[in-house]
Amino acid sequence: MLSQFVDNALPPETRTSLELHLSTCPACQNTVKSYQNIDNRVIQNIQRHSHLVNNTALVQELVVKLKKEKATEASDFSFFQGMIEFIKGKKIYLQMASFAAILLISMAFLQDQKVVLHSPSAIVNSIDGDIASVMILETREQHHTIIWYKES
Amino acid sequence: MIIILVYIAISAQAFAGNRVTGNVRIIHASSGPVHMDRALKDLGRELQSVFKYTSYRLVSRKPLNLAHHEVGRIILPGNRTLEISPMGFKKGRIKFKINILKRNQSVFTTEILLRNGSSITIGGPDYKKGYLLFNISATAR
Repeated sequence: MLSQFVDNALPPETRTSLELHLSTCPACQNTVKSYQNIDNRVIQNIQRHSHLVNNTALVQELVVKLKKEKATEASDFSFFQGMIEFIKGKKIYLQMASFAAILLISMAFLQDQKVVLHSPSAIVNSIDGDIASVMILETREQHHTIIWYKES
Repeated sequence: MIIILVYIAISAQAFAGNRVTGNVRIIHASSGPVHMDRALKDLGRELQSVFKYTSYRLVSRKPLNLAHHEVGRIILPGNRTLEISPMGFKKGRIKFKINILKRNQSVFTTEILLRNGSSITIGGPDYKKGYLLFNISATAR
């Protein structure tokens, strides 16, 4: 509580009652004094060392850094602009469109290959023999083909 | 040009060689105590979706490794023989000629187009209070 008193972190009522106690208690007074001394020493040290830091150099470094960042943004923009100009200049729209068309047709072709998986596992071209009856079935899930025949 | 190259690449990948490998699983289906062989796990659900049998037992599994027009012969239970021969490719599938014989007499003949890497099941012959099913799977190599 005494350290909070030194830091001015106590509510007003508690602080008032503690001040009353401090006026009659030398032990607590000593403790408060020792806390205050520590605080003062820390502040003094910070102030002493802050003179050693070169603020001007820090500011200069920050300015250089900001300028560099701006320059990079500008170069990115100019690269993008350059690309557009290049495309416009060379008139490569037709080539790009052709490439896109080829890509789409190839994808459609590959898609067709996948569709095959949804067709029956086997296509029955012909059945013959000394049989009483025959059935051709296809399962719903895996499209598995089954031929069921009855010997005569 | 690119489309042609893609087509050639895919076709070549699908049917790289002229050999057909696979296997024939001989299955006994019956209405006995409920049973599904572990080796039929991939096929079991498909069979159960169309048949009412409660027991599916793998009798044997025979490997296939055939060149085109080569005839593979597999001995089946009940004095039966399965003759299978790949006959080339059609519509992107493997063309097979299958013949089932009983006591050296042709009983059942079929010509099928099997999807590469897939299988077909042929069944029906009576055997030991149940029926025989032949699951034929094949891949072109």
